[in-house]
Amino acid sequence: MWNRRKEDDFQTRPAQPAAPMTESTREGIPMSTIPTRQTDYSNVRAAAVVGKSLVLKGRIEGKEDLVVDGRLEGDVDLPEHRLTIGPTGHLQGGVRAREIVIHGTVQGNLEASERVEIKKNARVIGDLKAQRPVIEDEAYFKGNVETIRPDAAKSAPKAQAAAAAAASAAEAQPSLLASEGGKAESRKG
Amino acid sequence: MSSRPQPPGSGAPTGSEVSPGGRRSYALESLSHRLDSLEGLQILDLGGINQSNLDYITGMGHRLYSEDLLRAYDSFFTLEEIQSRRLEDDRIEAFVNETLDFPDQSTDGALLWDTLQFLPPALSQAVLDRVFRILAPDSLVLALFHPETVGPAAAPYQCRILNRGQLLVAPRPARRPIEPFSTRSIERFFRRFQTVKFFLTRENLQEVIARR
Repeated sequence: MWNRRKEDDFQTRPAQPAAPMTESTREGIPMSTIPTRQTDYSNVRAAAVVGKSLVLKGRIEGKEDLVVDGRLEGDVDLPEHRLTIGPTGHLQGGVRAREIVIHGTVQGNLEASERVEIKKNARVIGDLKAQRPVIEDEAYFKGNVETIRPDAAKSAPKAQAAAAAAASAAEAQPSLLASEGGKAESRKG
Repeated sequence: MSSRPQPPGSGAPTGSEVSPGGRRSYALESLSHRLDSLEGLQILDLGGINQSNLDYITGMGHRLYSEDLLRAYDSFFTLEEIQSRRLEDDRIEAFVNETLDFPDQSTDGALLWDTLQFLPPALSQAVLDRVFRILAPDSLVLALFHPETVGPAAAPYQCRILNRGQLLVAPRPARRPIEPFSTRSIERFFRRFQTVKFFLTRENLQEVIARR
């Protein structure tokens, strides 16, 4: 179902010099898709790929880049990574990611902590929220655009961390915090 | 007093200082003045998105709702409807509902550019009526009207905001049938608005700022 390919293989990336041929690459494509323990991906930035002929329904969450060349119906959540919708890709659902690059069609809201790029000939219907929205001429876009200020984007993870710390503290001392919360509420009232 | 960061090119043009290819727009200046003085507005751009307008509006801290009215028209109506330019009332209503689906008085400004002049009259009036309905009181609408209905000046424009008082206008690739508008008919067109101001610009292009 999932192919893996180097991000540099994607057609919109600037051409990179070909990697030197080694003994292992001459052996050809392995027939099994099961990753082996010997494979080291640590210094290869790879993206998972939904191929052209694939149709997926459901929510996707992950900690790696994703390229969609097929059809995806469902939300995508890649908070620290990049989602690319290829020219043949079609996504129906919301996206939250670090970067979003669209060449194909999207119907859903987009939220990127850094950049959203809507390329020429892309078609997007939905609201867009990003630190740096970039929309090329001849792209079709219908929806709201809102930019996130860099300071707001930086403070959001801090706020989340603070909330997480408060939650773990609450787990540690439930009775104490509950009573403090009660006092706070009564003061507000 | 505003402490908001200003978008690139937001400085006021001084005297004859005009960017290459740009043209001074008094209507845009009026709109920019309002955008400067308020925060967090919802602005509609019905001429289709471009990076300049996006940067300008969002750079001032506002939200931009974008739709390409002419492309929406092309994709919503059938070829027969477009060729005949006769549209049934229920089809017009469906188009307006789909294209401008906002609660009443929920938006704070609209950039119509010259789009309405390239729609059939019944549809352009319906779109303007809906824009009126969804705009908050005192909001401004910016529209352009071509003086001629033939020749190179009668082509739809792509309008880019260069700064608070300058526009870059360039013909869009496809030509379209254009509806004639005189000053009198523009006044009638915007009759529900509080005020309508006209600015005559280069090539007699008529700029209009209407206050809701």
